[in-house]
Amino acid sequence: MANVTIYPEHRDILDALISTGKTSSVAAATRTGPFTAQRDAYVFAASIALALGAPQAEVDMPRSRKEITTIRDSVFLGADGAEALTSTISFIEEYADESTNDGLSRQLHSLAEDSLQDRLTLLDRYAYAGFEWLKQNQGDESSVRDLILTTLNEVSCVESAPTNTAEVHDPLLEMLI
Amino acid sequence: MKFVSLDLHNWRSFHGHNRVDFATEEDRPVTLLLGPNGSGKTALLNAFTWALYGKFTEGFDYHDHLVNIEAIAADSNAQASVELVFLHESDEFRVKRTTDARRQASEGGTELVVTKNGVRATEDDVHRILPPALKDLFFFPAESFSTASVLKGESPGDGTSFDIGTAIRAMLSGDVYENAIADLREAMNSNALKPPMNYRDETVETARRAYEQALAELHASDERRESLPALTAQARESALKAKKEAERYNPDEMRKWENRYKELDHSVGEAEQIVSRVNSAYTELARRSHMHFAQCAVATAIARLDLAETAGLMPPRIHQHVLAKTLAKQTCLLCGEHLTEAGVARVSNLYARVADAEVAIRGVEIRTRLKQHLALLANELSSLREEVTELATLLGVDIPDASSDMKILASVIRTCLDVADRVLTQARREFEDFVAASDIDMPADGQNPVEIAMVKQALVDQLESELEKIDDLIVELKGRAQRQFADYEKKSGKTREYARKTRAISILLESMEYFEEARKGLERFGREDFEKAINTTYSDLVNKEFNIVVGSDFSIRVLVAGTTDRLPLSQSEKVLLLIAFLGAIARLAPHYEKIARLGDQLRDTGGVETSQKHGFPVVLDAPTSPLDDEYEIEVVSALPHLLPQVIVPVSAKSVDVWARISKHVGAAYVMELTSKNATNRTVRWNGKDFTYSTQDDDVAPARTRITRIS
Repeated sequence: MANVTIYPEHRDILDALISTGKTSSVAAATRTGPFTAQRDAYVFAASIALALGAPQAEVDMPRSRKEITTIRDSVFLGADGAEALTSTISFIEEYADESTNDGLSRQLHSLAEDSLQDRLTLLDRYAYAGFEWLKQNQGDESSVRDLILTTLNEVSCVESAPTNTAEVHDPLLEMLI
Repeated sequence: MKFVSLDLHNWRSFHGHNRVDFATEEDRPVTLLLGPNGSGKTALLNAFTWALYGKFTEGFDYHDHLVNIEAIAADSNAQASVELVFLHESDEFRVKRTTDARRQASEGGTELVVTKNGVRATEDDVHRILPPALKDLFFFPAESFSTASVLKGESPGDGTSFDIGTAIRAMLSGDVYENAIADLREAMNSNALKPPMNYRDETVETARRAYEQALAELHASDERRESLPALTAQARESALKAKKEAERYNPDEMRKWENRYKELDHSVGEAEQIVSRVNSAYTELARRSHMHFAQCAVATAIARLDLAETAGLMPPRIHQHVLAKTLAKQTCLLCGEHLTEAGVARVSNLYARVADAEVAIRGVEIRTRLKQHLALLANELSSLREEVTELATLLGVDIPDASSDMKILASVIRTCLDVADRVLTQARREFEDFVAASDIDMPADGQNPVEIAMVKQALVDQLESELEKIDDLIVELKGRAQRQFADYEKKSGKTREYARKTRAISILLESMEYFEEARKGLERFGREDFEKAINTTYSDLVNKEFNIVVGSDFSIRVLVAGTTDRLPLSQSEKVLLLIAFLGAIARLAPHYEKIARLGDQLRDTGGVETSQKHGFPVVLDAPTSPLDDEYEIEVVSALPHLLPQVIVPVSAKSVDVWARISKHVGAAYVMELTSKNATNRTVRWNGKDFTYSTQDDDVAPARTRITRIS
């Protein structure tokens, strides 16, 4: 069983992003946060870092598991956009010492079911960075609503550099030649 | 029947024991109780109704605070009791009701002891003489109830909700006929008179159902006729109050004010709706923003998967197991051809580049989903753009162009939020300022009292029209029911058992007819008795030529004698008409009680002659309070001629008027109020001063003591 993790230092910003379960009116939801569940806030945070192309460095991730919040994969993957993020994450990282063919093969293999935890661990680094970004900018805003609107205004997604496709070809073609 | 005494023990503000001995002499029928405001005049009236019926008069709000507060402070289990002694014929009745501090608020938290000539009797023995239906007539809360309304109305029925028909039937024990009719109706509907379960003839069944339907309609109309007079009286009272309220306002100004009120209220509602819509758009945007942020990464992933396809990693065109076995056997698994050395090299090369088949399939699936994800983003964006464009148009904000992404939409939504908040604040301020404006006289709830009065009057008109037509309707329904029954009876003659049952129903119907006629007769003769009684009573009170006509619904019109013209009445004459109305019932009461006791309803009702010498007592709580001085004198002077016994709690400030009839006052009391908020005041009666209000800082809450002064 795999899961995603939210760290205790992000508990406050997580709470701010989530409306209390009892608020049924839209007005009340805007006072507390637009999301209805932790998993939705997690997806939101991870997507910010994905847009920025800046996950938390692996070495800077907290080592302590104390007071962490975990969300089971079966629950998390039910969130709107969670599955797309979890798949997309496989294709973000490219290694300098790796050929394009090897890189593609590795990325494709990382989609396998038994690699889910690795992908979610990678996603945790993005979510961590996203929460950090929100936490740092929260002080400048008067409400969660302003924070989210500012985030939309300031964060633009980074387009990745085009891959050199010259060396990529179908081996079947060689067999036909 | 005459009241002898009333003993109060810790009842409301009457701390400790207080007693009133009522005047019983024929030429001095009035018992006067003089008290300042707050001394408990209405509480005294309610001591009668509580003791006799366990109920209170309209407007008395202290149902669960009956035990004196000072007594409770001294003893948390303190008791309160009221004992009423009265004489009827030659019998002495004692009715004592008790409660205590713990039980006073609970339903049924009282104990009642009734004795007749010292022997235990029941509540029913008392209610046969003083039926509960007459509570509001014998114990009349004039001050809080309706004297003021009567002054505005056309007749004593206006502004009151008396149901005289019910009162008369109650006095005559006429409800036995109603009960008999109800029992017969139940018997007719019993299963015993229904067709046997194993017998089903469609023709007979149809006839039976048609008859039962007709009977049900008749029954419903009968019940409606019973309830209509009371409903109409209540509606009249409510309409009169609404009319009085409406008269405080100028209808034209009111309409203008109401239109403006609705307009501003509507603006607030609209602004709230827009704020809510903008907030919804923001929430939707926030919830979908992850798609905006992730779109580049998703596009990259799709490009990588496309590249993987170019690299032959997907889709799985040759399964790696086929290649593995081909290499192991050195023979092509597909065509059976032996592999050459070059062939082995090429297949080995291929094997190294072909991905795991399951992973390849997954790659294809994921690429499809990611493409769908991007398509969904386009759809969501388009629908958000549409909503934001609509909101921006409504609020006069720059409209986003057709290619706007979420970043631009967020910026427009932020502006919309600011503008919508400002619009709402402005609308609320305008509405509040308008409501708070003191230069317009208007009701606080924003409802137009003129319109309310019109609606209530329309209801009265509707009920009166229904009342006018209901007798004809019932005759028609009765005819229909009889025809349907005849048809049913005829068709049911096919079997003996069936015919026997319809015959039984026929007998029950005849019996019911008899009781209905008896009830109607009682009501008609009762109305005649009441008309005679009210004419006699009013003539004892007013020196004027008149003719009072009582309608079939017990409505009253006062006509100039010998004509059909309405007689204009002064304030005092209107109040005296109301008092005559109560007096007529009280004068009829002893006659009707005797008729009911002897079972002579059908023989003697309609021939009753009443006079001031015979009648039950009435308790009138402050009957003259809304009157001007000159009219007050007329009413007070007439009261000794009403009944053999009249009990009147009144304000001590009117004492001079009451002093004019002192020779008719058999007993006078002062209800002395002591409290820290009272002022020291005295009242002069028969040349002597008596304290009726005392200031005392140590007495809280207020305390009342009843003292006889003559």
